[in-house]
Amino acid sequence: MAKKPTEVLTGIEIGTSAIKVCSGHPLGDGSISIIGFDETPCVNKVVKGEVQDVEEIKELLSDTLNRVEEATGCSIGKTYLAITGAHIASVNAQGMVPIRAEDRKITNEDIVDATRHARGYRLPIDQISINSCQRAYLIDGERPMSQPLGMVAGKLTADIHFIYGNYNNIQTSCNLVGEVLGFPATDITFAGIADMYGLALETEPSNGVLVIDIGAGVTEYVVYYEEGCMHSGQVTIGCEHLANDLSLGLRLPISKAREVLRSNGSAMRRAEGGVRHVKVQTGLAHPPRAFKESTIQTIIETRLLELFKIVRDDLAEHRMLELLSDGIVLCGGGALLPHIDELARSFFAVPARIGQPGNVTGAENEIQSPRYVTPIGLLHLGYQLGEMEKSNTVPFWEVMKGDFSRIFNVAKRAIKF
Amino acid sequence: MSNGRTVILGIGGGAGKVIRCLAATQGASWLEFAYIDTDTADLDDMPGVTCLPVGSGWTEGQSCGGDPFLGEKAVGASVPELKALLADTEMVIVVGCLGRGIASGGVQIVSRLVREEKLLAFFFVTMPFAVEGNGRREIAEIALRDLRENSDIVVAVQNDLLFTTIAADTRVAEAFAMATRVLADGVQGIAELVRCRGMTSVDFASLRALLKNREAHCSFGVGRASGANKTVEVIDDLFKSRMLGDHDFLARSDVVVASLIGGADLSIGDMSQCLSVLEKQLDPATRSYIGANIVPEKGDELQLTLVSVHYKQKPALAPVSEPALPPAKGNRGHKEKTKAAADEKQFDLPFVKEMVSLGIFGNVPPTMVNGENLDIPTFQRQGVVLDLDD
Repeated sequence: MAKKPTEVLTGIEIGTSAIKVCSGHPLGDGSISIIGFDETPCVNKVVKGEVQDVEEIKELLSDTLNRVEEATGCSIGKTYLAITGAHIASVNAQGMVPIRAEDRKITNEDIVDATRHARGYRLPIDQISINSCQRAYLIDGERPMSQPLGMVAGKLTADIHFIYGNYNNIQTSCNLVGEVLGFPATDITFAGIADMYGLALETEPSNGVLVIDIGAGVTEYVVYYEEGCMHSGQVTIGCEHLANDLSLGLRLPISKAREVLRSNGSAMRRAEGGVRHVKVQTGLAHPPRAFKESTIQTIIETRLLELFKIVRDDLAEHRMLELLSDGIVLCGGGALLPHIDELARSFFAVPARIGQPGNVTGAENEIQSPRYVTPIGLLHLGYQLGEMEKSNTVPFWEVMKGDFSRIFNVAKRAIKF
Repeated sequence: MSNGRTVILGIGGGAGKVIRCLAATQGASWLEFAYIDTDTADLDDMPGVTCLPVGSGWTEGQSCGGDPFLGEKAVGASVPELKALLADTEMVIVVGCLGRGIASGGVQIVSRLVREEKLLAFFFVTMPFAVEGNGRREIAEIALRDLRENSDIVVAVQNDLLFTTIAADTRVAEAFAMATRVLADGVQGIAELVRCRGMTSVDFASLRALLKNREAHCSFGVGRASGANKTVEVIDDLFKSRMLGDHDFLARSDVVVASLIGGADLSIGDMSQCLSVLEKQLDPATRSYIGANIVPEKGDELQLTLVSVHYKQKPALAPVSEPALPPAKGNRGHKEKTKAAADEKQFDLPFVKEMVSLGIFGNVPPTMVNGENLDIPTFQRQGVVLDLDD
């Protein structure tokens, strides 16, 4: 091992299908060694990314954490929580400072001031910021620049992307985790932002990539461009909708529909689907029913195309489609559907692939699945935040921290990943 | 004739000009005038008018800057003073030029207040000139819609009607001054129309019946004449009224309410001659409510006030049978809403309702995107037929 483990980080994702917990310690070279992970199904107790039954979830989360603790042999310390749900929204805010120095060079203070002005954006009263990401700096209001320090300019504009959500919903999740752990989570983040850290995106950031995380209840999507998050959003449609559609379309019980989706689902209509049949045993007394594969595929494809269309319309509205030169990365449980990358490729007309968790060692075989991108991303994010706090290379990080309560805010400059 | 107080209440700058003009008019001495505004500069120089500055804490003596919410807030903060001002009043005529902040927001507060206090209220509002831009037009439309929910009589006058009768080369300042003058005439005319309650076939109640809960635009005119030939001249004078619109506009009215007011010596011959001339100007399909009153102070003068009503939606030829609901007291807004909802429901295709199924999402908040419930399976919404040959 390259370095003696110094700390153990834990990522918690309370998803619609399962509670996933991942523990690992950073190796110092940017990778994380996974030392324990576990998941507990929690179907029906979380709907569309929002907890419906707090007590039940507390119990399940406590069990999961105990199992992880046993596996790792370490007690859980710093924890990071992924937040999602219908209440999440995003907005872009700008802050401007005139450059007053005689030589009109942009100083660190100017950057801090511009960013602070942008962060002064007032969210609606019951909303609270979860993430704020630097989109770009604009020099003289027009030239975008990722590193404006030392540039000669008349004014500097900071452009910040806020991801915010309903205060009460977030507080519910935070309290839940806090009560189980006995201490509050170190930080929270929007699940889509965690995905950005969890994926092994070596070349893409400079070009722009769209990450779509199709979960069981919620689909999050985030556009990364240059070094930061340019746009984000969520749609409360996920694999549960696929299962529900199958259940209603094929008149199957929902549990059978989930099985069909897992074992026989395909995101695209295939030529051979018209002749192949899928047999489903609906009950002990009933003879098995047979469905054409093409019928199943039609139901899934119409739903996924609609989901992609919602994402594409939103990106088009924010002029993000031109930025996706490196295409699309799909993750989350939905990315396990066969041919979903083909469907995305043909719909968005850009390259698309399935993302796997990146920069991890240990337990590789089990966690190399797009389903674990978010919890592993939480570990990477936690590590980066810890490093940022330790070093003084990002001076305005400290300045900003005072403005907001610690637990709710991840003020971050884009970090190389 | 009623002896109660009649208060003309102006809200906002535009109405202030009308009130000032009216207060200076002879023959309007039986009326009381009140004026509320946030802009303290406008409150000066108003002889004979009770001025009530509102919202000075919000606006620091400035205008509302065209923000109806600010206007509503400012007037809302002064409700006790307004109540005191309107105590023991028999009728209130509220004048406001919609499209700006205080009038558009303030009339809502006043409309609620007079309803609570059970006063007879008459809202006389103008819609902005088209040249004032779409922003004001939109504010005015919204304000008018809200106002109609809360009040019985709303006379909404299009300022643009002025342009149908004045020459295009009229100076802007003159055009606005003319609008003010004409509005003042109209308010006075309408006040007198309603003044003679009990003696006439046209009174407050008949106006209310015509305008209650109806989307209507009104235009009005006042004609005055005296002398030997007054019965003909009064009609000529009426058609000179700027706000009446042109002849065609009048002829196309859905309803016309006219009231002839004369002195004690008004003869029955004068009356029938005058009213028959008026009848001839109208389309036979137009319903007309014509009355005559005697006001001794008028002396020799003859005054003809005319309100022409244009409904936005024409009344149905055969009344649709409605369940006889008991009149919900003070709850008209709600009733209207449920009625509107019922109307909308007719467009729903009933068989779609039966097909829709939500499965496991039956009891959770729906995922709505662009007004569509995405929890309903996509293939159902898109009408995709599934091949189920098992």
